[in-house]
Amino acid sequence: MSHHRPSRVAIGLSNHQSRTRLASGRASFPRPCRYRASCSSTTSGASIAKHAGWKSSALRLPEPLDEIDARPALTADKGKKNEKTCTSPTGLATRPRSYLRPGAGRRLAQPQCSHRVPVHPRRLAGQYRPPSRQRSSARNSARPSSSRTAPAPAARSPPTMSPSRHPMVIRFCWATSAATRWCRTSIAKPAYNAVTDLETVAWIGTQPNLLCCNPSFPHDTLPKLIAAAKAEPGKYAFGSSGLGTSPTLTMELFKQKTGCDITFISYRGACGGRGRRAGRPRADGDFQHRSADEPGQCRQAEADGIERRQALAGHAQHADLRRDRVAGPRRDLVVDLGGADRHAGQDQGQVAPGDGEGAEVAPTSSRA
Amino acid sequence: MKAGGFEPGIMTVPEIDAYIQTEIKRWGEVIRAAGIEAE
Repeated sequence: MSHHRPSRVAIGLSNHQSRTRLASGRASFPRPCRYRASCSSTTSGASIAKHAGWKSSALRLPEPLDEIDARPALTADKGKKNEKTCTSPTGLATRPRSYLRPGAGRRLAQPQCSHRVPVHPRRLAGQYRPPSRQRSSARNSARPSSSRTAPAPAARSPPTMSPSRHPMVIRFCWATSAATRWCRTSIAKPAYNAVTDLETVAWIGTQPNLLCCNPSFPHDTLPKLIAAAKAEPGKYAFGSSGLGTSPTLTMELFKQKTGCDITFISYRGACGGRGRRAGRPRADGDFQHRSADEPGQCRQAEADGIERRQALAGHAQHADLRRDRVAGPRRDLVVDLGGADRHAGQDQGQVAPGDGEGAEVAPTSSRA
Repeated sequence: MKAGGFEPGIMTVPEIDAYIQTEIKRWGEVIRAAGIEAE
């Protein structure tokens, strides 16, 4: 197996928790990692870059890739079968949306609402509950209407959730991007169809994905980064928190548009040492591959195209990871993590789960 | 919102649905080209 040069690029998702840590000065960054890039889907990458002192303006997407954000002209297709005429005398949608926010049943602020609203075959109805109970709510909504618990009228029993949950609920129901809906790998077995069961609430805006780099990284502009990645295929890597997330897919689009061969490192779980591992040299071209049932450990996978799989057959692939859950990890993909592993364990004792950079809170189930 | 890097925008519900459908098609192509598979 050929020896690969160390990865020097790591790109991580910056979520609210990491932003908080950055803002408070409690964030720690992987020292071996010379280059960091942040694709933010839930918060401002610019803010993160500012707090972290990273160069960001030169790498901000999608300046050289205008087509990424080239939205097509949107026209309402009022001839769809799954639409029906709104019967509200005011013309505003009045369907029960008590799971979305308190004050359920109140009309949403839709000043441009047409008199035709989409009607999905099934939709989540009922008061919003925490995720574990929300699944039950989804299952309940999927039952026949005869056995379904009718959603409580909002005026009579408004939801009792805290105000702080409102943005999350909206984000969950609305801002779930199309890409995430399509590749819904973050949920093991959702009780709902993310495409058809979620109901559109409102469009409030977009957030850019942002690439940031450590100031010491020489390729601090997109042209430089692209040129370097093309000159040395496989040398650089980027990371994101979980497969199927918008940063991951954004970078996949970036790779496809630019032809760069940048390795994707996926992180799932609150592993304090994942950042260090991201900057570590790969041993014999393999990622550190851990069993999925080791809590707190990050799992790294490669999610590249067919061509790359053939070129780097020794790398862990999705199929290998799926095999883990059945027959355990492949012995030839398990490498000795050595000191970095012990260091990661120390980090986990110091850093609360989900507090690290680029982290998403790991699911509590055994599925990793 | 702008100060936080957010870009506010407004769409009607039908527009959002059309946009989502377009995005599904677009990102589906990206995902298939990248060889990403649902677990």
